[in-house]
Amino acid sequence: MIRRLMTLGAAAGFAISLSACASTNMEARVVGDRPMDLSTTEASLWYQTDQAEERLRASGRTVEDPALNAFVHGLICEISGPFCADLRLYVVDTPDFNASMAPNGMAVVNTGLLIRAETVDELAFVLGHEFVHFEENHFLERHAAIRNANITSSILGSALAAAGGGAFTSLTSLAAYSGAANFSQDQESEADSKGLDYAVAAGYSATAGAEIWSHFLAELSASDLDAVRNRRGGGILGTHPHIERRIEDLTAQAETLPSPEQDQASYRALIRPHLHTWLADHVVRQDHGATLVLIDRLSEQGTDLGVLLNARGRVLVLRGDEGDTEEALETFQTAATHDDAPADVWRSMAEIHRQAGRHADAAAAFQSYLDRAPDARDRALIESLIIDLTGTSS
Amino acid sequence: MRRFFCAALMGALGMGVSGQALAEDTEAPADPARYLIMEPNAQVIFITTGGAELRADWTAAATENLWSHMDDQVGTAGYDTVLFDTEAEQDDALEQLLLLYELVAISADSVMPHKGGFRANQEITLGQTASLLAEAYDVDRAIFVDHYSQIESGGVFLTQVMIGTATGYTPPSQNIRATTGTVIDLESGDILERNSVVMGDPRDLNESAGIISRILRDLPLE
Repeated sequence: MIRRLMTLGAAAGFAISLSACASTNMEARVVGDRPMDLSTTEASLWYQTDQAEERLRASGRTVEDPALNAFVHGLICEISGPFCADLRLYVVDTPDFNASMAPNGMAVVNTGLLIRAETVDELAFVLGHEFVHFEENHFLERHAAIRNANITSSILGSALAAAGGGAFTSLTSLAAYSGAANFSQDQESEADSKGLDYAVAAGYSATAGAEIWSHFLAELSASDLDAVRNRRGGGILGTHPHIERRIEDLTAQAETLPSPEQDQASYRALIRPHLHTWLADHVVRQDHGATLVLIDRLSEQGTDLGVLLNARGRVLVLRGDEGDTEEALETFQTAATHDDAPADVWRSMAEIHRQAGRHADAAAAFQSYLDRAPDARDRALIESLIIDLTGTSS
Repeated sequence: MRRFFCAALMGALGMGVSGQALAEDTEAPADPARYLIMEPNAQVIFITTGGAELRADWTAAATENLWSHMDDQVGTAGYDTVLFDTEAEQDDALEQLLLLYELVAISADSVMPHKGGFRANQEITLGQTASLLAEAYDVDRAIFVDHYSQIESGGVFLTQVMIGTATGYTPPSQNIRATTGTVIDLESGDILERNSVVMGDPRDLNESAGIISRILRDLPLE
């Protein structure tokens, strides 16, 4: 009797669980859409992302540069057309190469994306990609896919265990979650393709999509960290397609689309006020290989060399391989010949001289640092170092 | 979420309270403090075989019920109350203060063996920025309510039956319900009182009233 009841319960559980599976094919969004029925999964996701947005606003992590924010917001509006009023964009201070779009219209653009883009066209492609995720309700579809994978995994796992194959239940999980990951990769490919179309329709270059991915791939390849070098997407559990495949697809797509000339200078002017700070965020991560590739690429434009060479010198100092200190000093000395060189350049040179026992050079460089940064927070320390080095007060 | 597990543990150990409404048990002092009733921070999670999902409708109902019952019961006990205005534009400092409260609340519920274990870390404070709330609302104290529920679906229950049938091991229930009330002195920012209760479903009006009543029973007001 008990066994029969348990069998009945198991069958009912199976049926109820399967009925909880959700469709992964949502309708495209319409302008002004907001779920009114609070009992739906979509309403729950909106509720959570509304809360996340509130926290983000209060987090102190957003970049408060009105010109930059207005520009990026204007760009996503250009791409999203009538959906503009549904979107709120935040520039978030984090060096990761990423942007995201939540189902409630919260768009997040990392400073790590802004520094890596070389033109407005490249940024437009990424914003187009994110807008497609929003327009096509990808977040909700992905949520349904993961939910279905959870259900499939638990049902098949239980059935397998009941049949005496308990040792193989992880295989059912692998099958279920690889299906969800595959689904996610398809969404990313769709977002790449349609996002590029949107950017091109707004007047931006079709080659920009493949270009920004190529730049990032070069960075990943040069990373000092195995985990970063291997982070190229794809695989049976990867949520994003392999980067090389994305580049191939975008390059093929761009062949039939217009590619007007891109303007690097105007984009650099937009991010120039933040370049020094954003580079510092990369330098301290101590992924020297990747950071050097980024800096060298940004230097190819031939502008902002004081700031860029300063960052390059700092990477070399932190890396500390044989010959790095000498190369760092030369790099700082070259940086110092450019008008935009930050005061830090002279402090860094002073440190190298001090460690090499060249006290007079060190004191002179420290003094140059203080002359250029009279309100430096470490002024008292530097003054005492100068006294130690010269025996006299500055 | 960890703090709610702690609260649940406390309840399981018999430390939860039950009792009648504050209005029936206590009498307000001659010059009672004015209380700001903050919007409850409620989360009602639905656990299905597909995963955990924060239900917007249940969370909204729990928030609304707990908020109105806290306001009602503190007011009925003879204290002046003011509701926190969620529609007003908050300045940055106030937003930071509300985030700080969340940190302080989590820390207050942390198990700290070197300080004496669970609930041994109550000597922490929001600091003097708490006075921002006092100035904005002309009040002396604030009452925060935090609620966390996990509610299992019938599908999960039957799946557990299924797993039990197949393997002989039945996974434990994941149902959790815990609510905590905190009184903050808005002059010093200190936690004056903090009390948790387990059980009760705040989506239901009567149960929500009961939860607030039990919280206030051991949350002396002045």
